Amino acid sequence: MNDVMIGQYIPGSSKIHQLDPRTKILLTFWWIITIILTNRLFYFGLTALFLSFILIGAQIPIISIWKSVKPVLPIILFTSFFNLIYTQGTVLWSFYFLAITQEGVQLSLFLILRILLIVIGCSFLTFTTSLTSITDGLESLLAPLQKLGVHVNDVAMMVTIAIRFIPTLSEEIQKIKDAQKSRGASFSDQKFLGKLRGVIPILVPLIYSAFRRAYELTMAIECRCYNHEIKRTKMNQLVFKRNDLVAFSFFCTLFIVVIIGRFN
Amino acid sequence: MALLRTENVDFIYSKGTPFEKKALSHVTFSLEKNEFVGIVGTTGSGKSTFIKLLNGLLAPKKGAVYFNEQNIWSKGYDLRALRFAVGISFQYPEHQIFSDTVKEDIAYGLKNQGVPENLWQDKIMEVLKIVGLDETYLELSPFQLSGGEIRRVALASIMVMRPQVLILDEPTAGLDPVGRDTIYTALKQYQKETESTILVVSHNMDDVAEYADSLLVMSAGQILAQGTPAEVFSKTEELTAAGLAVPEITQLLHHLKLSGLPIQDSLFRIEDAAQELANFLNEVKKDE
Ligand SMILES: Nc1ncnc2c1ncn2[C@@H]1O[C@H](COP(=O)(O)OP(=O)(O)O)[C@@H](O)[C@H]1O
Ligand SMILES: [Mg+2]
Repeated sequence: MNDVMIGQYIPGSSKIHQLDPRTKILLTFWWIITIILTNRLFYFGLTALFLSFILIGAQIPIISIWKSVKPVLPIILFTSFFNLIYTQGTVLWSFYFLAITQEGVQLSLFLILRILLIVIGCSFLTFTTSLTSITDGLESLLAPLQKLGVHVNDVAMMVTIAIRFIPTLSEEIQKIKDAQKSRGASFSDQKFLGKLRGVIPILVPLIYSAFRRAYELTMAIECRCYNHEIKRTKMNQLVFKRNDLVAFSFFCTLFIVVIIGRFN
Repeated sequence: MALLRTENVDFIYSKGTPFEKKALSHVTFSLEKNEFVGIVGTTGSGKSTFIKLLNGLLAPKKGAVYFNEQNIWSKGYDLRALRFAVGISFQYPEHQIFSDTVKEDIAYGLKNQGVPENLWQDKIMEVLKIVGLDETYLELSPFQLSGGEIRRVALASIMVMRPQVLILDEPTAGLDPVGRDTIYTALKQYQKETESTILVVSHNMDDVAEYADSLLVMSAGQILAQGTPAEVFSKTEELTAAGLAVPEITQLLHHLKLSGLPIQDSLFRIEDAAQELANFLNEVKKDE
């Protein structure tokens, strides 16, 4: 658990939490397309405003948002820095061979805004939707592939299990680290070989325990007669409600506004 | 002078997130040299969190931890040296095995300590004997051992570093009664031979009642009771309210007393209880 905030579901009862997972998945994709198509500062402001309404609506603490953005900040800054110095155009300021151009400033600013808006937007999907709902949604959206011979159910099951075990394994790493530190291991060796040697006492127990868990899980699944040939029903059937329609229309409006802004 | 003590420590997991969880509040505790202390409490009462504060794996959010009266979070304090002095054997021993042989696994701590290799063999044989394994285990792969054997190897791998304080988290979880006795007998013997201090975490009262000089009872991250087993077990009602049971033999005596027998009910060792009952019966016989 510790400080991994990406993909962390925050239980709640807001309108956004209650939306159909399929709505949220589709709208997340739509959001990404909308942001990519946005190309004026004014409209970035508009989408940001839109996002802040979602933020208030979903009642997600700011600190969680910050934690989901923090890990990508270095990448954003790195790429926008190169955009800043390598873009040709009207020179604003120069220093030896480095030249900062008006176009460069604009490009890197847009890049920063785009990535931020996309990352924050996507994190809402996972903040407000439990893992089971996401896989239910995905399964339902991908159901047509079943006709092409893809075992959608099994894939959905595998994805659920894989994601479900991320926090478990990360907790396990912490416990293993604690155990080895208690025997004097130090993970602060900066040299490559030292680092490599430091990893083995963590990796081996981790893999061992992952395998053990896998066996146990297999056994548990078999005991419940899990079988891809049996058609399973859902406890919570997915149904689109009025609020889903409202959400779609909001995004539709935003999309149209952005498109108009782009070609005007 | 206390060997190891905490002063009013608080600990909070995932502070500042929606998953914030207060695991310890206002825990003040001290451990004297050569003591055998038991920490009891229900699952989730904060026992494991507390011991991780004692060797600096976790830093308290409030309060302080002192080893030999030195604050372990003061600037420049050598935490690695502290971890050799305060050894912890964790609840899940399979989390620490990674070597090809039992011998290598036990030697891991010695290697980190910088003990010359020619001394390893003697040290390893010594602790192996204490935990009740023989030299045929040395060349086995730790992954092929049973749960009880892994636990003993894990225990040996901490003991071999000769910590001044030895801490064990639920050392008998998942062991049969014989395995449990072996571990506790080993601990007692180890303590006698090395004059070290031992802290055992358990959620089973019967386990610690027999061996510990003093007990610390935790409930919901706080200290519920502290003192000798006799003192602690006299608070039957508080313990029951916190979801803990006094040892079965104490319960029996308590019920006998409630139904009118003039006997002492704060005994917790089978032998003591048997003696008390025998004394009482003899009195009755004499009167007749
Ligand atoms: N890594 C962690 N992250 C968040 N909460 C934790 C973590 N470890 C323990 N906790 C919580 O802290 C409390 C105390 O746990 P712990 O110290 O393991 O109790 P015990 O060892 O007495 O069973 C529990 O409520 C537990 O859920
Ligand atoms: Mg515990």
